[in-house]
Amino acid sequence: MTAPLFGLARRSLFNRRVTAGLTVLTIGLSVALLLGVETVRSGARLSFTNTISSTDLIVGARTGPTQLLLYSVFRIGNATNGISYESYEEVASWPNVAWAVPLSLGDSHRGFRVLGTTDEYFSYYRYGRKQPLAFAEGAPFADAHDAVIGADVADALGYSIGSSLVVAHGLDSLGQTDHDDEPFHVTGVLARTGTPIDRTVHVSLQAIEQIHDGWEDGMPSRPGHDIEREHEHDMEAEPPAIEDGMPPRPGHDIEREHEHDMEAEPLAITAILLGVTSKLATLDIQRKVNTYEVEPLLAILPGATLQELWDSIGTLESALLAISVMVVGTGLLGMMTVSLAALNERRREMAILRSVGARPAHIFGLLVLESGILALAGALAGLAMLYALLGVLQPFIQASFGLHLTIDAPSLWQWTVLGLVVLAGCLAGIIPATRAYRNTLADGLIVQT
Amino acid sequence: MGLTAERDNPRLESESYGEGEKALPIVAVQDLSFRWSVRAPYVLGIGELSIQRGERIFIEGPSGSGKTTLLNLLAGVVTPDSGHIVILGTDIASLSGPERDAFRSAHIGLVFQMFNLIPYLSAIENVLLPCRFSHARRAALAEAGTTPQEEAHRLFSHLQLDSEHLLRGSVTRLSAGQQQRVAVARALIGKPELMICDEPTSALDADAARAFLQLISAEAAASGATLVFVSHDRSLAGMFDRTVELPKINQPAGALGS
Repeated sequence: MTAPLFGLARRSLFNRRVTAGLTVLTIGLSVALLLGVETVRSGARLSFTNTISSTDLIVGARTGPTQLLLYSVFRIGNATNGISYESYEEVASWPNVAWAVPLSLGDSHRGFRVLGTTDEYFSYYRYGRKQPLAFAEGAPFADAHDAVIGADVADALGYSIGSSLVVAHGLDSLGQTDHDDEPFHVTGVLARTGTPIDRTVHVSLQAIEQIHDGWEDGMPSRPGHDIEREHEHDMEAEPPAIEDGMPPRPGHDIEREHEHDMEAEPLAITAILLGVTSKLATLDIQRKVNTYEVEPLLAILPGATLQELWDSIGTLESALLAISVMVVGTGLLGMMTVSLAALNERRREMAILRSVGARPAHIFGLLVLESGILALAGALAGLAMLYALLGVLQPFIQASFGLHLTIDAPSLWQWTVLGLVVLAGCLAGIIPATRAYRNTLADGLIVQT
Repeated sequence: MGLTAERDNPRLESESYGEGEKALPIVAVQDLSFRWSVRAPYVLGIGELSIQRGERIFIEGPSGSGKTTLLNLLAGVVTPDSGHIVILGTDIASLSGPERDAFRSAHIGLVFQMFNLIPYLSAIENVLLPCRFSHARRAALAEAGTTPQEEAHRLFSHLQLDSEHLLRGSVTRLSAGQQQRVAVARALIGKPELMICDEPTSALDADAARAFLQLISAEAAASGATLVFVSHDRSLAGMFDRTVELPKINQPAGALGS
């Protein structure tokens, strides 16, 4: 029964190609939006859960677990407090702690975060499915003037082995606080990981210390920059100074002096990545950290916190998905409206079809088929738009958000969505089809117009 | 449902319309009454109307005399409230909706007033439409040893439509007379036994209307179809074998004295 109808439906749609084209465009855009939201969602989830693995605990100053995870792993936000170096040494020396890698954050280089750590970082850090960090070229830093950069840093700034770079104190990327006198040299470029590591400049802890010493020393000679730098310094870099229970004082000088005192000890650390000797010890050590009396610390299980974090943004994600589903619904509703509106001027067409042998069921089928064809064309147009958009935007998204969106053949999920759109399109066609069916029976062969 | 069944089905042929029984009418209407709804007055009440095979009959009546309703009944688009409409030995009033649709597409060719054609199909595609929907018509052509395309072209040349260019293009570029001839070709393809025309000349001037009428009666005769022509235009009556004045046979008031 569909054989004679398909050609008719196609020709009839072509006859109304402007409205049909707009309908396909509407559905296509809505489908592209739906598939796009899902692609970004799954890409984000993947890069999220792939960011860290094989690290049993992350230790930081007491704060929210999510916040600790965000700044230590994702380089999002800042630590309000640090951990003293003694605490790090203490925790590292505990039994059942297999390894402990200190992280010191708070500085930047042209918009990329600078991470102070030890060369153990490169041997213990794992991402994705327990993949170690690999060097695209070069080797870990050997001294305080060496730097290892992530793949995005290398791409964005055009750096390679031997390039020199200066580190700004604080996170402002404008560069007014660059230390021209203390350049770093790139000794290694990491292979791409699809994690925030790609957007990180790694230097040794000693280097971080030197930056801060250098900053202290440089102060008097450059008065023009004082306030700005101090301000940044207060905001970002040396939380222990504020945390130390100093009475609030308006003058920056005094605070700075105080900091200087603090820096008699090695500088504060932002977080520690811990590996344990046996999984069973994990919870013990976590408890031990959380009840550590010298300073308030927090230990989190990265996997659990990742899940928690993902769940907390899950509502937003579901809302986005729901909105895109509704947009698709709106597109199909638009198609139904157009189809219904055209029915009146098509009464004669239907009557002619009946006079040449089409049954009311054929008329019904013709309209459902037309909707189905529009929905199918819309679904395929949406898929094409998705790939076109991904092709254009993927490098931009990678560069701006560090989010790697894979361009794959459509997944089963996507095919299912497309199938459902076509099915929904056919169902939406039932309403005008029923109307046409009734008209046809009422009109008979002669339409009185 | 195979539409060929209509021609072979013993039930449908129970009154056995065959070569030896030429006296049996092709259309026999009896005690027909019809109203559009239960509360509406009757619009048709016809005691008897019979049309012989091969006859060219002119049914004449002013607007509102029930011509259109009668056509809808003959074509099996609507069913009477009572009475019989026996066409080719089958009482179509007793058939189901789909059976009537199949019967119509197999045995009846229809030509209407203006705008008879599907605007988004070419002339040739319009003519082939009945073959798309009716297996019976395809089968009839196959039996005659021809294809729908060949038959369409044969009809076109008989109806003096021979510009291939015009026939492949949009039908909306054809003149009114050309469009009506295309509609005739469409009604006649596959040799239906009955051809019903409803005011097909209303858009033509008098000369064109006469020329058109000559063409269709010749073509109907050539394909052996019985021609039922409905119009309000009495001046055309002379070109037919017989004229039936609808107001004279139609007594809807009491719907057959009931």
